[in-house]
Amino acid sequence: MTAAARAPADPATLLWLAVPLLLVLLPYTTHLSAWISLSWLGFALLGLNGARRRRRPLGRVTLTLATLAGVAGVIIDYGGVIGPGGGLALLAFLSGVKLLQTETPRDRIGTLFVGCFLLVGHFLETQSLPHAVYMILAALALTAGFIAIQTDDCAAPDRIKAHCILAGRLLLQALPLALLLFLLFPRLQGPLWNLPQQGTARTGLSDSMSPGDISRLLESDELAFRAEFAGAQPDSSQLYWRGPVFWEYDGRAWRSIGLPPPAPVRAETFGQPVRYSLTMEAHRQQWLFLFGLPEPLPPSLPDRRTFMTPDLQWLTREPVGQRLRYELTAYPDYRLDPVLDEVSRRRALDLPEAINPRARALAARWRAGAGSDAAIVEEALRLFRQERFFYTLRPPALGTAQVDDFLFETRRGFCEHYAGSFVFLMRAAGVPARVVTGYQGGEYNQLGNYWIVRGRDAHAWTEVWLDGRGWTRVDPTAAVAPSRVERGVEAALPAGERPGGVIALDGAWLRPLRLGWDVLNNQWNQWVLGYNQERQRRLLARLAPWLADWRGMVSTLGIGAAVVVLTLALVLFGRRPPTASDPASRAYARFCRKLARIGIVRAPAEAPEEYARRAAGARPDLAGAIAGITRRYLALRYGPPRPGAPALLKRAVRDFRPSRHPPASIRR
Amino acid sequence: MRLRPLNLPWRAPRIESGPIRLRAGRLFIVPTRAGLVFAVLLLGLLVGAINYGVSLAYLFTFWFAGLAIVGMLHTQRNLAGLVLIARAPAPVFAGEEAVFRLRAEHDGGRARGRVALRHGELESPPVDVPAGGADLVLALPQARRGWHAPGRFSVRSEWPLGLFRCWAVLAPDWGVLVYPAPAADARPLPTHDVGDDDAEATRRSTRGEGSEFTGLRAYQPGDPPRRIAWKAVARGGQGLLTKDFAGTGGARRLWLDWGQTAERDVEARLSRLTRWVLDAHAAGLAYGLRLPGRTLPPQTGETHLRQCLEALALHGSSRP
Repeated sequence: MTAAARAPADPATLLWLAVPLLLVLLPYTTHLSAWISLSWLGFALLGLNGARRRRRPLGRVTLTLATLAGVAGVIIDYGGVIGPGGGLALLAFLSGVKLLQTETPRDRIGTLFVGCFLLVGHFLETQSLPHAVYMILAALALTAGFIAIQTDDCAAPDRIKAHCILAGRLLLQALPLALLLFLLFPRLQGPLWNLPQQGTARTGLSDSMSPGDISRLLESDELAFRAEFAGAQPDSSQLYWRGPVFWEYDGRAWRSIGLPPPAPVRAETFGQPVRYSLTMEAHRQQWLFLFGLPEPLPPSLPDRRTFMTPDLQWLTREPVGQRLRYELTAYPDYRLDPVLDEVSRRRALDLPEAINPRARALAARWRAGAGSDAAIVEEALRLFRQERFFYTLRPPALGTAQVDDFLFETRRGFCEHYAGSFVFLMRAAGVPARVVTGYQGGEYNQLGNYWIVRGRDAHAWTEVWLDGRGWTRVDPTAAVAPSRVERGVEAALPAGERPGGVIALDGAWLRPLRLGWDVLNNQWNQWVLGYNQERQRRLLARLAPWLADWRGMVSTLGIGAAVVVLTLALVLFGRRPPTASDPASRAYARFCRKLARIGIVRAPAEAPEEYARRAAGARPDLAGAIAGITRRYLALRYGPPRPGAPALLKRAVRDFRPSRHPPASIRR
Repeated sequence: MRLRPLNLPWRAPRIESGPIRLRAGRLFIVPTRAGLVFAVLLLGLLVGAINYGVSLAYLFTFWFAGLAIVGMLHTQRNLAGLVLIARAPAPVFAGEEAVFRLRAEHDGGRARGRVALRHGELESPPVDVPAGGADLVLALPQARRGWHAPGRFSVRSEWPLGLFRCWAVLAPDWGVLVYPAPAADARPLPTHDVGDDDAEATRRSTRGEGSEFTGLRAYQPGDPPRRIAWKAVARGGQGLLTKDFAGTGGARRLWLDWGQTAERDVEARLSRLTRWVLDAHAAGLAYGLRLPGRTLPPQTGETHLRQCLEALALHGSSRP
């Protein structure tokens, strides 16, 4: 007994542990350090080898040393074992070590528990729809593992199938309870403790603009956000999604040095507001994108502290680490800062000394000749329109005098070149100006009535302050390449430069498919992933107002869970008529059901012959078939066994298809 | 309506004869240790889901929780409706293991997985119960002679997930007759009352010398080792065989008497007598047994052997 307990699990049982774990861990391999994946594989192979030879593959001391080495490795690699990154990496490593300790049932079930933990843990990394579907498969494998390790001979192919079927049935039966809990378990607004910042890779726009920053973005299909307008859709060329605003130029990059002091936004609005909702992907930065001038000012979010700067940037205190959804009412037409204060004016005119002399000279000429600031703006736009400027994502390198080089030498660039040099020119000519970055346009998804805004929609434009009009948007890129604003970046680019990825694949036939997939993802994000405290309350309040507070949820959850479990118990324990075991009785039962369907029901104790006589009397047109089947059945039941006879009966019953009403000739 | 006493696992179960049907009402169910660990794991996952605000972590945690609950129902259902039929165990000698067989059957439908029979700390290997039924076999060591009712058993299962243990307490009207352990050393049978010749013949026949070898028969407990056909055993095949010798038993009458035993201790005397009875039976002699308060006249045959052994087993007590 003790000897058997010492020996590791047999190879089949070990496979039932290793395969589900492998399925769970496969998605981890993309971001787990390679040494963990490799050592896991090594442990699995060692374990299988040991199982085949019924020997412990490694001694206790070696195993402990390997474990310690793993812990040390994770600490070095991930900076600790607390927190999701290091914790899950360590667990992944230890799940490999567990494959070498499979002596007792407790070891084996513990290995599967680790698998469950890793499965759920991976959702910290990604919660995409395909990933969720994949994890259902992994959960099925884990459940089948639980069943298989209870039995000895779990290797036979029919056993494998049986375990998987049972596991699937269990998971399906558990689903109603899971959905009920998902819907009604009161969502708390996390976090319960301070999270270490994980995954610091930021995406999207950055807090400064220097040549090359946006072009990298422009080549990506990465989703920035989705936006849905209630009512009429604005024109694509009007869709300027406002993000970071830059004031300071150092000769190379545009940036904002320090955030402006919190001060109210001064603005006037015109026309009708629009309503829209925006679902932003986690970009791990602080700004939130805006279309138009929101009302009320500043807007607020229920579960985040946000603030607004006078230059109309909307920021959150904490970086956006999760997908974030907000709804706004906003005026597309507005006048920002009708009166410019002196501090802002000085800031909007500031330029580094003595750079770009040619641009300065040009600006000075404009100033001398023009009557108004607006005329100077026109002069600059005319320059971009009429001279040979090109829109390209691969501009030639610029020297130290970047604006001069661009304006008078290369004349090739994209939005940030145009926006940057335009603002330079304006400031040199004495017109207050600043750079605004964000996104422009987006792809309209007709299937779901919303806009998809991706990295390649990133854009930089400018605002100039004009007397009487306040900050006025001017998009110099539109002067060079109007199609950029009207139809998106790929339309504006020369043919050889169209970004790869989705766009290249996007044949006419693929587009509906892609948009449909995006609709599905959007719904998934909104309803499954975005199901937080606020959404839960709103949804439940729509069902019943009393349901929306936690007492309502908990009591409904309790009652609902009891109903679900009791229903399930009734179904599971309910008496089912025992299915006949021999084929003849089964076939005859089917025959009786067919007759019952046309109204001739067999009485509980009715002998087959009597039943046949009664049925034939009721339906003379079927008499021959009824008599034949009954004779065959009785012969099988009470006569000597004859090979092939059950099959004949079965076929006769299958071919017996009584019509509901007798044919007209007999009905009379 | 008369209230039935509440069915609790520590209450002594009523002794039942005939098939025992496991109604759902007499089943108990608790989480196993693994089940408790699983609960802690789910709690940890839930805290993680709340903390990181991960919707799918909520969903899958709840799904695993639902799985455990569904697994609980299935574990209960695995035993519910089983019909258990106690098979009488064969008598054994003290020091041997009595084999208790519980036939488990069910009325078709779903097959049951991994059902085990348990008594005290001893548990049978779990077996699957297919449509045709299966035997739960538990061997319990028997130390003392006499009639022993093993009392309470439990039928249990953790199938399918191992997170819950379901069991039913039952006491089938089971008893096992335990014969005294035969004395280890083979002392010669006591001499005949009848005469020296006979005594000599008896001695010889006991050793199997001089008698006529008549054939082989299946080994029975108590056959003296030197009468085992070791050569036949070595050839392999059908287990132990015992050499049979033509006894002249019918004519000879051998009395195995309490008073003839050299031992002083009651149990030792019974052991001695048991050995003699077996030896005499093996030699094919007609023998009688004289115990204080009970006398069995000389006879041969299996039935007589059983009666003698039973008398020895129950000496000083009575079969309930």
